[in-house]
Amino acid sequence: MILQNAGALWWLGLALVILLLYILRTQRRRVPVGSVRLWRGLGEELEARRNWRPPRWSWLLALQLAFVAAGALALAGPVVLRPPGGQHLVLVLDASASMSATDVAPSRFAAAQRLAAERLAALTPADRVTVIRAGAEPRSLAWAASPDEGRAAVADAAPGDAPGALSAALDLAAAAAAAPAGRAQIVVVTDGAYAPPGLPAMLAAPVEFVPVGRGDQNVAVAALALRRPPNGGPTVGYARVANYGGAPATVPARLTADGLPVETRSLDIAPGASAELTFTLPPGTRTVALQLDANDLLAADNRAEARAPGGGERAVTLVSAQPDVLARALRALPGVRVTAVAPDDYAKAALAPLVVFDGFLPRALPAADAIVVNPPAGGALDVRGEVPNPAGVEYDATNPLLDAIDPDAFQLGRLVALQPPSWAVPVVWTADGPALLEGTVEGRRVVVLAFDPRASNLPRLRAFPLLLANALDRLGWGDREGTVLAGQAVRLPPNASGQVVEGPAGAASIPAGIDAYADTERVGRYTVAAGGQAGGAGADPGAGGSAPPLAEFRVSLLAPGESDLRPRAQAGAAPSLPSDPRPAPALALAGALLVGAVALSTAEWWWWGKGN
Amino acid sequence: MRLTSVSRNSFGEGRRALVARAAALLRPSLGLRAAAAPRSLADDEAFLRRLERLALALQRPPTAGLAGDHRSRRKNDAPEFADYRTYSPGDDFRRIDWKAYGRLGALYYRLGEAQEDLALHLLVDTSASMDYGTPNKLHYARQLAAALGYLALARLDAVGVGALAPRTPPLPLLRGKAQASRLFAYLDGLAATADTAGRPPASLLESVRAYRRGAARGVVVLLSDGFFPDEHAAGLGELLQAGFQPVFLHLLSPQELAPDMAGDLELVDLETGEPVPASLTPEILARYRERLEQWCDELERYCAARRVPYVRLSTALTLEEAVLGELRRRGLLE
Repeated sequence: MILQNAGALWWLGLALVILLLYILRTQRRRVPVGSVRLWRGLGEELEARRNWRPPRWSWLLALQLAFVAAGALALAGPVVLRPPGGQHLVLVLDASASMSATDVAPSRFAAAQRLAAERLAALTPADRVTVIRAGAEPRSLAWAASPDEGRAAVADAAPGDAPGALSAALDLAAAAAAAPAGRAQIVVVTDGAYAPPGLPAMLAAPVEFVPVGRGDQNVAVAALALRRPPNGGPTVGYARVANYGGAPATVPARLTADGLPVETRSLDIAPGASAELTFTLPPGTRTVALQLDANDLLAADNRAEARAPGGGERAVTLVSAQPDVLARALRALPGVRVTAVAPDDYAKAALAPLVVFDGFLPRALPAADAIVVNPPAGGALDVRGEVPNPAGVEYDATNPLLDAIDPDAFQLGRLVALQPPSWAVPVVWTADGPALLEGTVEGRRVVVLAFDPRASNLPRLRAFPLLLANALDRLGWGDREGTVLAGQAVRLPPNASGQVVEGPAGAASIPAGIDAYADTERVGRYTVAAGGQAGGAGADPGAGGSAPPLAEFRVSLLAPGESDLRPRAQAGAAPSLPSDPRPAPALALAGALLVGAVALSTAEWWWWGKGN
Repeated sequence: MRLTSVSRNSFGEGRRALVARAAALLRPSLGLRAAAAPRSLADDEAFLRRLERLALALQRPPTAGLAGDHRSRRKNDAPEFADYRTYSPGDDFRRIDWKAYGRLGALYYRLGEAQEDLALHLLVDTSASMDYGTPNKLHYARQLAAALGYLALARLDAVGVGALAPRTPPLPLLRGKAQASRLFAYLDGLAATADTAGRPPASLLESVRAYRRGAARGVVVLLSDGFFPDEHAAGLGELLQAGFQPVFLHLLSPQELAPDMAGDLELVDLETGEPVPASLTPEILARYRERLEQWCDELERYCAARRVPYVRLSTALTLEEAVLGELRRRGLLE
């Protein structure tokens, strides 16, 4: 028998407390009697005057001690073990992108499943099986289960398009091997295509690597990057295509921008070499894809996609009771999609990565970048009234917010008397207080216009849309630009609870409190939509008929370690500790002990009631 | 010889009032325990009738001065013939039996048997220790005294009553059932002496001395729990030396006879306030009962050695069980 939680035995200390209560006398109850003459000197008087006494036998004490003992033992989780002899097979299935290679029909992963099934077939019903899927994150599919359950878990497993976390999976396997489920054996079915560091330093059981795969013919997009020149010129791109096979390869490479072909090249790449591509994107390009039409062993790395920086559409939520002026100015900016929300509907609205508050401000800023215009009192900022006709405008001309803007032309009819928050830096200010501020608070970037544009000459100036454009350039969902690697977590838009992320593997609703999405194990396009309007993933972004998504991102493999399919010697098996036969749990006694503790408690209560 | 002239069949308004008064005092224990159903006046009347049929069966003590129903050990000039003795000069020649002189030729003096009434003194212990137990010992003692006193008054005996407390004046001797109301009222007014502030409780000897001073000799019934601050021998001896016939009715409550306490307690003396810490276990309780038995036996042996009737009564007994049962069985009543 073992104790699963031996630390709970400390609760047995309560028995000492109970004994102490019996040893130490409490305040004596005064009982009048006719005369104490006959009570004097009965032999107990001297003892009775002491503050302690040796505990005497009583059923109440016995029941209380038995209750504490039963409760502590129940919490310790005693388990009666089956005699050793059974086997505990810990199967680690490599589910990384390289396991989708087709050099073994139909794929390396299918071959791994067959090998695992053969191992499972050799087990007896008394043996235990743990199945661990080594994908982007290791996950146990069966834990100390029967061979039948293990077979079902292996059959249901599927490979991903991300690099596998084999090292973490082996850590999990080591933990499983340490469980008292029999003589442990770790079997790793893998193609060996993983990047160091590979294995944990020490394992608790012997490890056997079962190799799968034999081919190496694979050409992959190894890198894809886009860059917008500082001078505002067209976006340029860079790509690298590598040949990981042992034979020269000629690969047609097609470059598309927003789904439209831009360029097609034929690349001749020597074995182990790579070809580099540079290209210029058409203005306004939002997404770029590089597709290799290669007939190789792995398809997942033949395509890479990226979003153009600064390009594409930006979703902005405008919270305002009078959105006309600001909505018109925002919509005048290229690529900006404005959704107006009334202040009353703010709490329920799905917010874009950038929120503009106009004449309204909640008590707490949302988890989004924000432009705050004419903030009222009672919101997240300390507003202390208004100042009419503020004088003496000064500004920081070097601040990017004022690019191509002359603040001297500003005529502010009314200034919000704002106590500048500690995280904000004034950009334009008057003698009566700041007029334009910016800063970062809790990871959110915020620009504050401490005046009502309607009460100024700003809407009539060209500086107004320029100011908003500069602000938008400094705010918004920056993570969406570039490439998202398979298995990489992606920051979600604010208020993402209830929104739906739809990707190549299907749709998933975002639970409350989650602000990042990590299930990006498959390459392809992912969209984030408000609940009830999912369906955008995989669809043509330009197709009409459904609301545009709140956000979108593209996931590519871009992992040379996975694309290099060459057979390689398995990394040396990590040293293992001697495998002691570990008996399997046969009977958990915690439940019975808990029932016993409750019965003892009831008996104690009954006995006490009887005595009173 | 004095004849009683009470009509046992009369049941007038005065008797109704007396029964009601007696019932008020006696009812809580008239054959009943606390939870029993209330009794009717007819029940009380029946009990009083049964009391009236009883008489104290005690050795005649010194006379109270008037003739009564109890035979005297002294022969005197009472008309009831008892014996002869030879004539001595100076004797009343009217009591010479001339018929005997005619037959025997000698002068014989006719002795008459005097019938003197019994002075019954009821001394109720009103110390604080009596105010204890369920049923309460003092209440039980008052009821028992009322029953015995009524019984004696019905026999035209003189009845005195007092408390074993020096500062409580006794009631003068009562005679006749008409005085029963005074007896009951006095008993009703007796309360436990709770004065323990700095003064030790009155000793038995002190109380007896205070009572007997000026009291007619007779039977003294002590109704007490025996928890005297002094030795009982002194008080009883004082009575015996003064020519009284003591009777000791030893009253103990069920809680004293068989305590139902347990655990760590501080027992507080009702009379002195003295605390005694005690851890009551079954063994300790057994030793207490053993000590109680020894103490009662010691009291009984002392009384038996001095021909002092001793009856131990538990207040768990009903008044009827005590009077009509236990006291008759022990020969105190007939």
